[in-house]
This record gives sequence, structure tokens and C-alpha cells, in this order.
Amino acid sequence: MIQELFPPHLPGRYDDLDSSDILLEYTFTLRRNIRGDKFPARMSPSKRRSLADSLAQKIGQTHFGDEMYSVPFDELSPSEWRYLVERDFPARILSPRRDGVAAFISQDEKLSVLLCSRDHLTMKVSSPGKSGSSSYPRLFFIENALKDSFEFAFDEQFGYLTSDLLSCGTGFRAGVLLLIPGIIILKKFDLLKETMLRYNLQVGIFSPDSVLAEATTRASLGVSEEEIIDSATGFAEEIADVETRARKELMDVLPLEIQDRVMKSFGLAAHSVLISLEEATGILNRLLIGAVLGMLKLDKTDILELFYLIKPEHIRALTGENLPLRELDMQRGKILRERLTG
Amino acid sequence: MSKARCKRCGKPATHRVVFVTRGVREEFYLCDACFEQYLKSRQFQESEKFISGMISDVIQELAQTIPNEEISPCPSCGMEYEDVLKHHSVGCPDCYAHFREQINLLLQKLVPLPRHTGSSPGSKSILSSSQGHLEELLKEAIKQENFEYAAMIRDILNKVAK
Repeated sequence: MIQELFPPHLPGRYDDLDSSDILLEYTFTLRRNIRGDKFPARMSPSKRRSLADSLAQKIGQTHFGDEMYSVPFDELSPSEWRYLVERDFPARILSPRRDGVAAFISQDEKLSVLLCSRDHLTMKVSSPGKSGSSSYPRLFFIENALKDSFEFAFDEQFGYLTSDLLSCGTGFRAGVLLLIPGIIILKKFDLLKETMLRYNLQVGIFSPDSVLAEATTRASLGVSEEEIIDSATGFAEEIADVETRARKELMDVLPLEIQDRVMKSFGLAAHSVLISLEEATGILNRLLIGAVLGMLKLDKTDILELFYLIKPEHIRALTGENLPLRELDMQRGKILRERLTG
Repeated sequence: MSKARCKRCGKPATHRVVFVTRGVREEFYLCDACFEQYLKSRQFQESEKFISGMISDVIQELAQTIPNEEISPCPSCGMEYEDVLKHHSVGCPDCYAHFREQINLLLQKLVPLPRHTGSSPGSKSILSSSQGHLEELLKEAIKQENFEYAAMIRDILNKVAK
């Protein structure tokens, strides 16, 4: 069971998070394809499976194979699959195709290698806090280990060839997860946009009421790996400065409406009996604002973990029962009450 | 930042502006008022227009320039040019050679420099220029008592030192 390999409580996902309240996580992705083979979308499921097997065998022989679990996607039950998608580990790099697709995932879920999804190899490493920017070499260690056995598709003009035209070149991308309530509440979007454009990144905010933003480098072609890393770290540092100033500004004039919304959300979280996923997600976003701005004595890492624990398959994994919708709403209320007031 | 002066008016600066265009880095400081002006300036507007140009607009423009029926499918995987435009993806490594001219036109509109400048299979790995980061990883591996991984990192560091 995938739920036993990766228990609902996130093992150490944010444990190393330093005192930074802004820069939550760095993520690096490296894509490679084998010369002479079609990209996975154009392969038959049996061909994908065969290539994934030979790549998995080689990875299994490396040091990284020892510290990662092998997860063949087509052997997962619908519930296991939903759990993995909720887990968000593969969501950002996942294609809907499952036949013949497999993954290696480290126990702490920070390192993963997706085999025969959009590309033959999609290697990803995530690491919390500012020091997370030094985690990328792990991807190149895996690449190095495979170099002797597989020849990667490469072109002098377009670099490493990938199925998505915007990923060719280095095949490498860097991303950063930011907690920016100051910028979002004060609507400093021009500043965010200007910084994003200068560093050539794209920024996405998870939902209209979210204070979490994810920024990723846009181009992999025409820029070196070092420039890509510098773009992500430069952007993160500059936004951290802007956010620090915005929070100070916000604290000076903290609007009563915001305090009211945060405290009412805490009341709802502490006393609700039935609560839907949508409502709970909105509440957690507001509690995150309260925790970061010092209105509530809650640990932001607890709230970040709760974003996962309130999802249906996670509740089912926690309770060990295949609960229907109404029971899920009840359990969700219980989880929030216990975690936030216990 | 506190000692820096605004490039335009000389007042204490509050914003650092860094541009990296085609490998050339430009850095300057601005105060709040000048930064506001800068946001409305041509330099910013042009970079915005360039970067935020919607992929779909570029593709539509390209589709009008090169009629689809003139381009044959990729001989290796059968990928149609229409699908390359529709999904901005290709079916196999050979598609890059087969649709080279069109992909080049498309990427010219989407990235500042549509020519590979990073590492290549024959060149030195990025690991050779990551000494500081490797040392961080080595410390972490030792802390976690992951000695096999630590040995691997040390091995790379030794090669870098040579």
C-alpha cells in the first residue's frame, strides 16, 4: 500500500525549515530523454514499460536506488493513485497517463525520478528553506550515474531534447515556493510582476484566497544551469525583501477586517463539526496569515501539513476506513479541532 | 541596500534592479519614487510585452506565416506539424531536426536566446562548478550518517579540486 510507504503525516517535509517565514522550499527539475527512442506519448504502453524497466534497473543499482521506493503507476489502485496525486508529489510534473509509467520516490519524498511520463526521465528534488538552493546537485549525480549506460538525446542548437519545446536546452528548471501574505494583502502585484519579469520567472498563486505562490524559471534554452539557479535564488531573495517590508507595513496598519477574518476562521476551525474540503482550505489560508503575522500562536508548518491531512484520501488513510463524503466532512472537522486546539 | 543611492535622483535607494539579458548582467538602485516611474518606463513595458507574450498568440502568428499543409509529418514518429503548434510539444528527438526551421521561429519568439548555452554531453558537468553547494550537501550527508552518499560527494569534490 502506497499509504504505508508514505504515511499521511509528512515526514520531515518542512523539518529543516529555517527561521524564514517567506521562502518555504526550492524545487529543481531535470529532464532527459534517450537518443533513438520516441518520447513516451508516442510509445506503446508495452514499450514505455520496457524502457521504464531498463531505466529503473540502472537507477536501482546506484546509491539512489537504495534510498528510494520503486512505484509502478499502473499497479496502483484508484485510491492509491488519488493519494499520490493529493500528496502533490507528482502533481506538478505528472501527466494523466499511467500505463507503463513508474517512479522512484525517496522515503522523505524530497527526491523523485519519474520514468516515461512526459519525458523518459524527469528528476525532481525539493528542499526546504534557503539552504534548499544547494540541493540540485543530487539530480546531476543521478544523471552522471546513467550517462555510461544511456546516451541522452542532444542537439547542438536545441541542447538536451525534451517533449515540451519550452524545456529543451538544459532541460533544467528551478522553482521556489513562497509564503507572501504581505504582498498579496497589500496587492503589491506590480512589484511581484516586475521582479518576476526581470528574472524571467513565471509565478502562480495557488487559489484566489491563497497566500502561497510558486515561481518557476521560464526558459531552459539559451541560459546555463548556473543562470537558472541564480534566477531562482535572486528572485527569492528580492521577493523576501519586498515581503519583509510589506509585512512591516501591514503590521503598522493591520486592517480590522483582516484580523476579524483570521479570528473568525480560527473559531470555525476550533468548533466546526462538519466541514468541506473547500471551506477547510479557505480557513487554513486565513490561519496561515494569522500565524505569520503573529495574530495566532500556531506553527506555520502545522498548518502547511494540515493542507494535506484534510484531503479525502489522507483522511481515509488516517482513519483506515473508506469513508463516504459526510463522514469525511466530520473527520475533517475533528482533525482541525484536535490539531489546532489540542 | 541602506548605503546605496538611487541611480536617477541620488536619494537613498530602496530597490535593487537586476537585469540579465543575453548573459549580460546590469544592476542599479532606485528609490521608491523613481522605482514607480521605472515601472511605467519603456524598458519595463518592453520586457513585459516580450516575456508575457502569450504562447498561443505566438503560435497563431506562426501558423499564419507557415501554412500547415506544406510541412510533412516527422518521418520517425509521424508527428504532424499542426500538433506541434497545438501542444508546443514534439513526438521524438528527430522532430527537432525535421521541424528545425519552424521550432527555431517559435522559440525565437518565446525565449530571449534560442540557442543552447548550458552543459553538453561532452563538456564538464555543472557539478564541477558547484563546489560550495557540494560542501553543503556533504555536511548534510555526514549529519544524517549517510556515508555512502557522503563518499560520492567527496569523490566529486576531489575531482573538482584537481
